[in-house]
Amino acid sequence: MRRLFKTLVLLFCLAAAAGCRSIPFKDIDYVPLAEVNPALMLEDFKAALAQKLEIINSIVFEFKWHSFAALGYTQLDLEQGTFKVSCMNPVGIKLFELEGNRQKVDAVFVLKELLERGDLPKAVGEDIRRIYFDMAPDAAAKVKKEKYRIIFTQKTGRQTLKYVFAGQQRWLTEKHYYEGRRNLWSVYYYNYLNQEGKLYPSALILSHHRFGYNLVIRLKEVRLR
Amino acid sequence: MNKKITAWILLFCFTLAHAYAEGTPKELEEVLTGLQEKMSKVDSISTAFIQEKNLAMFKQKVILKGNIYIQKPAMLAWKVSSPLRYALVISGTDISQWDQDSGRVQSLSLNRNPSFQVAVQQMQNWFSGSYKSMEADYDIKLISQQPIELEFIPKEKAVSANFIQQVNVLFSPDEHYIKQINILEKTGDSTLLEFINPELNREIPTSAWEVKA
Repeated sequence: MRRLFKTLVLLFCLAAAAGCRSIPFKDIDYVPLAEVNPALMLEDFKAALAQKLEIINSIVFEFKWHSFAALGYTQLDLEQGTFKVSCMNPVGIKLFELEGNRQKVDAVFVLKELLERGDLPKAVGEDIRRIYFDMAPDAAAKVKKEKYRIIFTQKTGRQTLKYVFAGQQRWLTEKHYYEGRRNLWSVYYYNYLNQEGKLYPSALILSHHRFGYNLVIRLKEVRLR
Repeated sequence: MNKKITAWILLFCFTLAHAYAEGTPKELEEVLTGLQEKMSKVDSISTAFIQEKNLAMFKQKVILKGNIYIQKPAMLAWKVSSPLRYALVISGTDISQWDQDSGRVQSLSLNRNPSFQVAVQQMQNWFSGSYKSMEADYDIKLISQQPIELEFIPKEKAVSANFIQQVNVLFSPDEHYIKQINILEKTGDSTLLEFINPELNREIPTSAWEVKA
């Protein structure tokens, strides 16, 4: 009886730690990766990733008990490190339009009401970089092989980026950013679309642990450039 | 915030009724009066729509599709089916919205949301044919008579002048409903909203008023 109680308490704690949030995507199909060469796997992934993306996504922003959906039109050039994004609500009213690169973001248009809610262009620009830029670690990253996952750890001073590759396809499934020991944000890639030999992340969640929000992103359309 | 945005689209798409025809020729006055009389006979509309949003920055367009249901005096359902599923239902003073991706229904009251209240009030004016209540917000020009097409240009002092350059409204040949609305924004973007196979004065199925699909 006591053991059962302990188990229940443990299960409750685990559920609470996970935020009790149900994942809206099919979970990764984990397979043993003992035979996989991490370096070759990484090369294959890098070669397959689309470098120029023109995509339409639906985005659900979740914060505490609030959530709202929007549509985003995004143009990315990962080689040049540039992006443009236009976001509208589901009835077609533009919320904001931005363009930027690795260093800066310029607001082309931001709805007045959104301007009153902090530096939106900066926040959106940073999230775009977190999700789409640097989707593969540097060659110098440390590799750790687990039964079902291959983890690359890349350190720069107090900052650490952790990349997790897993699944049948051995694609990037998780990216975590730490400052010291604190995990500030994570991106979970649940699925990719393979169009004309190029990979596009098609179902993903960005969890900003520090600010307590999630972005749930679903790819709706790819426009080939 | 989202409520305000939704209110804006209602304003854009349904509420050009407050346009003002200062110094309009007699011909325009007659056309506006005629439209008002004919449209006031319509109690309900259910129509499919295609909304083409042209993004100037990308030289590309995003296309949204769905259905709109209107029942006088105060019911509206705006349902988007593609590229994402979304519904906005206004019934009296109650507003509900839902989207498939978040799966959540959000309910609010018109009484606590003045921006929505204004939008719905104006929509009612528009569909009840309250053209005489047009105020000093737009210059109106008659572009064509058969079918009727009107051009609305916001006056400098109008709030809409901050973001709208011009709106063109094309009416059906029988002048009972709007066939097409084209909104040109100050940013260079434009939105073409086309209504397809509208049914007038037919009973709207109760499912149309259910926000969750």
